[in-house]
Amino acid sequence: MVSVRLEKLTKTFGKTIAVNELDLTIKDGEFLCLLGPSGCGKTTTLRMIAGLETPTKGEIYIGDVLVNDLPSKDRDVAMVFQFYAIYPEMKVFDQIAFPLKMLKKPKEEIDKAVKEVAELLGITDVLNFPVERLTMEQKQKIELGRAIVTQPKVYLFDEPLTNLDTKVRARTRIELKKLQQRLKTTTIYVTHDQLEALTLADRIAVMHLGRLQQCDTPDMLYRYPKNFFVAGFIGSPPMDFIDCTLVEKDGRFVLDAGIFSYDVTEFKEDIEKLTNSREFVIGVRPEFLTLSLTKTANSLAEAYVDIIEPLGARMIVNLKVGNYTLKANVRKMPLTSGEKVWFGFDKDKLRLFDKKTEHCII
Amino acid sequence: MATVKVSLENVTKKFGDITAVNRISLDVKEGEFLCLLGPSGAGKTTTLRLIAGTETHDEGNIYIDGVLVNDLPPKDRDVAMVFQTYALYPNKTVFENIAFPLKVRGTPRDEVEKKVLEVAKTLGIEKLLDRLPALLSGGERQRVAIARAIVRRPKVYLMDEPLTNLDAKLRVLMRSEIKRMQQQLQITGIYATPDLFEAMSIGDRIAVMSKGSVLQCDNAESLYNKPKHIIVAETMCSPRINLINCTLNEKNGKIMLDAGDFVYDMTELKDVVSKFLDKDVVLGVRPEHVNILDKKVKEAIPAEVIGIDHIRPENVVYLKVGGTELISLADEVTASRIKDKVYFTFANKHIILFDRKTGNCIL
Repeated sequence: MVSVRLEKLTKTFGKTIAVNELDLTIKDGEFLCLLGPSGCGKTTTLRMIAGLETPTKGEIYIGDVLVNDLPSKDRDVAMVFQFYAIYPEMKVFDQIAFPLKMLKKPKEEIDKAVKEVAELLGITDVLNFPVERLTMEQKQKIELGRAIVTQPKVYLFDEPLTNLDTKVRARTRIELKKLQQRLKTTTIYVTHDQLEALTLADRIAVMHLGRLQQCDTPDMLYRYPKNFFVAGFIGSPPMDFIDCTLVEKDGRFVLDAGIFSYDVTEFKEDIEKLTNSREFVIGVRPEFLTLSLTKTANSLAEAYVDIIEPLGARMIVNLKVGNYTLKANVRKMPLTSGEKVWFGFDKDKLRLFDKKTEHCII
Repeated sequence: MATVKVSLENVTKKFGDITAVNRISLDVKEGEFLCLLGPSGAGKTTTLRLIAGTETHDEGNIYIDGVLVNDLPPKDRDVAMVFQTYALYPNKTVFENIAFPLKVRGTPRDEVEKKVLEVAKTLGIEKLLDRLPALLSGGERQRVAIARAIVRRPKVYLMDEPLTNLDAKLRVLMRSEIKRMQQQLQITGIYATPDLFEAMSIGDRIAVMSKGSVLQCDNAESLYNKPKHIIVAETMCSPRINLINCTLNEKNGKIMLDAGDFVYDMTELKDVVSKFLDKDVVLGVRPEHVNILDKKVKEAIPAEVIGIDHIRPENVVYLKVGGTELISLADEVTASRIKDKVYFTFANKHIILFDRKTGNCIL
């Protein structure tokens, strides 16, 4: 039970700065996801914590111990790469015991540890089966079992679910989450898949170009992205963005987006406090856009229905308005391409970004 | 009625003992995009290759524009193929890559320029024409590959999972762009994909394939509402449809669907289901039709919540009743109220029943 603390952690490869002054604390027992597009520095960060890369600058603490100079094996972390195929002819017991055997642990200790893990995962009755006779779900549990049997202080996962097909992936995700909640072992999990991050993590650290963009709960990242990058990265399809200019009219603050204007007088103080810019970008999630065939109280403008993408219970409606194509993700409704429709959104769903600094103001 | 552009009649292809394509019959109309949807190994790519002529079929007939092409070599069939891997010439600029199919056909220079520019505009890559492929993003490269395929106007476009290599977010954005381009240019095509949402967005109709056969071919709405086979229902549902093995029993004049871990009164549907009494059936209910309640009402079935995926806008709730697992979709408000124990219901109109032996839909 430890926390992991990164202070100004930096790693350069030649001229490339892979990780740039990363300050991040992973709390004791927390499940933290490092999320970002490829090349953002998430895997390098994980490898530095594991001791597989040496930091160029900065410190890594596991608990209160500075581990920069500790070799990987003395850091008491378990790194799990992709959940890969297992030797089919090997028995389940031997599979789980494998990491302990590598550590040359005494036989009784191995026996006890494997049995404990098997019980935890609910696979006690198949311990003597060869792996090939197991269901996919049981095989996944063996992978988890192998990761936890050495009882490290910290688990480090590097995109472990990438190789699995979608059905098994969902199931394994739940198992992994449940297991971590029971064991309360500090976990750092690297993924480029936001769905995994949103469903697994207590907090998500979003990285981009080696820098930490925001570290927050999934809910906060979704509702209150700190900047343009996070807003566009979290959510699929991504947020709709509309350029606008702030104008002051008779003491009122109005966003002029050309295709509509939007009163934000109630945010006047916040805006004035945070920026003197007049150029902004409105951000609204596609699922917060509401559509109606007739004008309603929250209607902002009329748009043409372009491509409709049915998703079963919901659908994505591409809206043509001015020079924009906005995406609205709504419950299935009778609409056809070419039709006109009113759109709008509730005020609490509005996010406003300063065009110059790309920071979120509201 | 639009004319039929491509027609397959009982087309079969075997590789040794394996039947890759099994008596497929399909018509693609002019200006239509037909999606072949199925997992890898379903026969999608083989079907495309048979139409392109890069594989020879063993039985049946293939017509393109009314002409029997069984014995025509690929180059004479006038089709263009787009693959999963972009296969752009790395040492040629975007312009040269797109112009290539025109140049090899000896198209005059000014016409090449005009056509390349036109198609580049349609796909929004007109500013990239001087660049080399290495300097493009994945999405841009795929657009160039598509532009190269559509720059000359063949009779039919064959697209083999063109978005599969893109990351998930880009795929979502590209599918509406492909559809828009197809509608704008009114092109005829067959598009193979394992991705349900891609097929629903892009295809005017979808042919659901499994193990070399087409199980059902219809528009997305009909496939979703009236699947003829259990595999079609599974294919046309994400997250996965709940499929529960049941038997239909009669008790005290009531018809009960017995799932072992729960029973459901189906007396109202007596007329339709009575002939399946005492038979093995499979109950199908889509996750969006499983309603979660926090209080017990009549008919509601108690369940244990084993997990929630907080995916917006619809949260996926994993339920367990005895040994039976189900998934349900819940909005933000419902999901935030969910405790360990809940109740669920589903409406008669949302029930799909399948014959367990044949997989055919019976309700």
